[in-house]
Amino acid sequence: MIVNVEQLVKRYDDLLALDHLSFSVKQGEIFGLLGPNGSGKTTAINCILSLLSYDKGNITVFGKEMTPESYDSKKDIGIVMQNVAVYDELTVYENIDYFCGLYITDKAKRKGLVNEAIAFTGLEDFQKFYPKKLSGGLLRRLNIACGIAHKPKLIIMDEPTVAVDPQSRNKILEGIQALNATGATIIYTSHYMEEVEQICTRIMIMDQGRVIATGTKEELKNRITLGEKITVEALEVNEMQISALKKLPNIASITYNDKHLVIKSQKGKNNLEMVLHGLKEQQIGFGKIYSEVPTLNDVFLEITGKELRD
Amino acid sequence: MQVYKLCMKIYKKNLKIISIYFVVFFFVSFMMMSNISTSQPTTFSDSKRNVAWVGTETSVLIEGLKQSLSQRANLIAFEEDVDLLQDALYFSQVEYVIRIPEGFTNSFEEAFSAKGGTNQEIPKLIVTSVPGSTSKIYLEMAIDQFLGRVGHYRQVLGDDVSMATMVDYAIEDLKFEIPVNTYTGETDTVGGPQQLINYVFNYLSYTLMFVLILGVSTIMIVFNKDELKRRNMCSPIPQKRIHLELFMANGMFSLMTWAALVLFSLAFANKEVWHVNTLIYILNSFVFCISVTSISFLIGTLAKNREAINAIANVFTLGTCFLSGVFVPQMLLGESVLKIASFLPTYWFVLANERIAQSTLLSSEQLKAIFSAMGIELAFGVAFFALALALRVGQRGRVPWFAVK
Amino acid sequence: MFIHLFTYRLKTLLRDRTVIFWTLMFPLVLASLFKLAFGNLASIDSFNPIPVVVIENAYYAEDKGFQEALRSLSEGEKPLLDLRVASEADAKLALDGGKVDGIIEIKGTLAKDKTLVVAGTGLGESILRSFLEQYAESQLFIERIAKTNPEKVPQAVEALVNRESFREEISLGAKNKQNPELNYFYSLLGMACMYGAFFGTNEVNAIQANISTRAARVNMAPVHKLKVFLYSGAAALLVQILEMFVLLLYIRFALQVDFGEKWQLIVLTTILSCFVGVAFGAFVSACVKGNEGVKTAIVISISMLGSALSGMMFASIKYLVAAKLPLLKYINPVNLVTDAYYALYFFDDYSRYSVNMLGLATFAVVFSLGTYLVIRGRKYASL
Repeated sequence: MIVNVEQLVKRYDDLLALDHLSFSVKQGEIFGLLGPNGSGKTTAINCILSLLSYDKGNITVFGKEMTPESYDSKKDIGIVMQNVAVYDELTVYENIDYFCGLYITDKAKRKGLVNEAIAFTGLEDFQKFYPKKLSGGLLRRLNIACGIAHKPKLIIMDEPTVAVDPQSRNKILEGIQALNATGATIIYTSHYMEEVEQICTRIMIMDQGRVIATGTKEELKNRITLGEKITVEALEVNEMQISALKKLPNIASITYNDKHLVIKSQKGKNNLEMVLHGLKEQQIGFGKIYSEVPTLNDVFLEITGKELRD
Repeated sequence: MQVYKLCMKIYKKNLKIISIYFVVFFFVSFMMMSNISTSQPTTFSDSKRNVAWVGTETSVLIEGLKQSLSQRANLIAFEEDVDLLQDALYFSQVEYVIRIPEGFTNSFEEAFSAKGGTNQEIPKLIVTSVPGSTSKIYLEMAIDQFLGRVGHYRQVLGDDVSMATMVDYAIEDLKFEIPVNTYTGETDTVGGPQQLINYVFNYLSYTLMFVLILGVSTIMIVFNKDELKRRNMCSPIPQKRIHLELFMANGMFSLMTWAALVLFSLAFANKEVWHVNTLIYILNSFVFCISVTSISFLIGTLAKNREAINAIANVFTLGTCFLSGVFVPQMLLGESVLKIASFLPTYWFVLANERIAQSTLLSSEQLKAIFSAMGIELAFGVAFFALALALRVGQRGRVPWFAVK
Repeated sequence: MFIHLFTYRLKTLLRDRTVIFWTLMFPLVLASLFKLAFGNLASIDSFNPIPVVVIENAYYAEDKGFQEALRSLSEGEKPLLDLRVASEADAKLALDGGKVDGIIEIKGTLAKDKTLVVAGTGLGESILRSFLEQYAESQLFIERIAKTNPEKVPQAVEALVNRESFREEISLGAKNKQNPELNYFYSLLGMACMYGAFFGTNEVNAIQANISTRAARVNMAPVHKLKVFLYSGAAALLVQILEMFVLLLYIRFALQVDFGEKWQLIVLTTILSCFVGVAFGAFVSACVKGNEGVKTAIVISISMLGSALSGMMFASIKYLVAAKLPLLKYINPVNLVTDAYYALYFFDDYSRYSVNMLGLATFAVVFSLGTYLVIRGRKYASL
């Protein structure tokens, strides 16, 4: 167990930011912390890092209790903050070297690590640039490089892709997977479910400081009743036809709105085929038809009754 | 009025900071003004200062000197001990040390004997003073006058008259005061003598300038952020309007600061407020306030960095106040310094104040002199404002080379 | 680790050129302005003659002695008076118009018959009054001699020519001369030292995770927070000391302000003062909850207040404080710096210097300890 959190409670005055939060992160995982803005992801991270004081609970990192003086543990942790945290007065290379130097005192060894981090984040052409001259995406990459240059065993990334263009984002995501492949355990917070779905091996969904659900994405999706969402573009559908469709097996709900017929089915086989069949039977003319498997948003929606996205 | 309203909000948010400056500067003003009021010659005699007296010699002459000096000081006997005296000076037990060298009376009598004593060397008291002590000058004058006078009597009257008599003569002579009348002209003016208020208003310029430059820059730094500037430039409000609203908001802040400072100054000089000149002092400070607002606006236009602003505000405020005679009277400054200073509105503000102080009656000529100085202050204000506006319009999001990044 | 943190901090500090430029320029410019303003203070070269009018009447016409005295003061290279003689009406007109500072009228032959009419209160008026009083006192002397020994009047007049000085000013046990302008420069140095507080403020901000994310990152490194603070603080201190040395050299050699001979101790004083300044900023930053603006305001306000009280604007305030609120001079770090330089220049004896240095050392300890107690706080209630 790399990180273990038990019954963590954190209050900001009368706001309960973390409500008896418990979870653990295993060796080699890319652990995704997913939740809407303000759900307590960053607070949880800061508590784990022992930056924030908390009211109740136990936190261990690498099996040891985490305190501000746990330098042995800190040596193996890399963090990438939500906000870019670099020195404007230092160049790209110097910034990475500075932060790396807090972990690695051996100069020669550090030089190799810094160059590796630069190559890893694709900043080779910008080594001598000052942060002010970098674009948003490059700056984020520098921010990451500063956090991971010392090859930590545990990397905590707090929304590292906020405000990053898609190209840079993909690069960053690939990079995270590559880091994971070299053996690093990663905790990754985001409110972008696509990202989390794409790279995380295990996901914890949070809302209002509580754990909503934990598991792999398949596990999470299996948790809910929704199996498939079929959308049909149909010009004319009447109530009778809808109630007839509802009688089909596995159908959970049907709504017709703005010429779109949305049929949600529970898990089961051949749902689409059955719907197609039903449409034909009811003589509903349709243009396009498409089927979606449930997303993490649907998981969130079904558990909390609200959208993950604002 | 969006820009204006936003500025007011920012000011409200910064009220805490601004009030810190206010409190401290009021405290400094208070100290300075009490300094001024205690160092005035007229009030000097009220408080006698302590003077260390070292020396065991007693003679009619020395007793006379003591008597003469005791009108101005409390003489405290001290042992001849350098450490002790240094401590006494340092710990402000005494402000001045007078040491009587051995055989002083004898050398004095020899030096001023009737038969051409001028060849003789004049004996000296060994004195030490605390620098900056205001009573020093008066003490020294008293010493020289008394001993000089006794010496002259002795030189003229020789041994015919006893030393005691000569000492009495000298003491009597030196008690004399000439009659001084204050001229109030043919017409009656309202109010009594004014003295403190001149200093109070001069000093007001220092506080006003500092608070305004820092306060205005606080706002301008917010608006000078490149992103925000460009964003504002994209809005449908004309640029000139934004500049004007900014200036208005700063003007509002200036007005309030000015009003607070004037009230404070008047409260401090409350005994001298009921005088026609007070109105002119207030008017002058208002004109100066307009001018400083423009300067602050100009500095704020170039401001981007808080540390630099602090430095600029300090250099500018302290520097101009020193050059323009706020701290050191204009009369004592060199002509070349005053020539440089005449390029600063502060100089004209202080000059106008001096002219007001000198006008116990307000003849048309005096008024003309006062208003011409105010006019120059105002002209500075207009010039600085125009320059700032030109820079702002010309800047268009680019930063001029001399801007404070 | 020391070298790593120290050199990188030095790099970041020196690369922030605007800050270096302004923090360095600020005292240099002020010092130059001081020199400009006070250059004339010690000498009377620049003194503008005081305009005064004497009313033309029979008494004045007969009083050759007074005429002579006035003439001697209004002639020569550096006249004290700008004298004119006019009718009573014209004189009043001149006073009205502010063309003269005062009117002298002689209403009789005796000393007490000289009167002065002024229209305001200023230095000019005081000087006129003082001159007239001295003259009248001399006249009283002649009058008395004339009454008792009329034959000796010529001798009496002759005696009056000499204005003897009966004082020899020495500093107690030291050879350096009194110079009123020194205090201005010393307190400027004191203020510049205290402005080093900005460096201290930044150092604390750089390790307090609740202030910047960069600090949070530093907090996560396996290096003790205080170590980071001390090592990078040393770089900041070095920059501040270098800046102060530039200022010191400039004031000493370019502006020719005397500091005495004890340069080793002057350097030591400067270094300790810089330390107090930086520690002061760190202390403020650690103790004051609030944004950057509040901290800056406090640093500036205290520095300015301290400078004012140590006589940077009006030298006599320093004395006033010492006389009226003696405790204040010990708890004002600017005054301690000012006075330490002053004691070195002025006294051979080191007791006064030691008191100041002790005061500074106390401040250094209090600020450092206070900062330590606050920043060793390990976790934050909110970030």
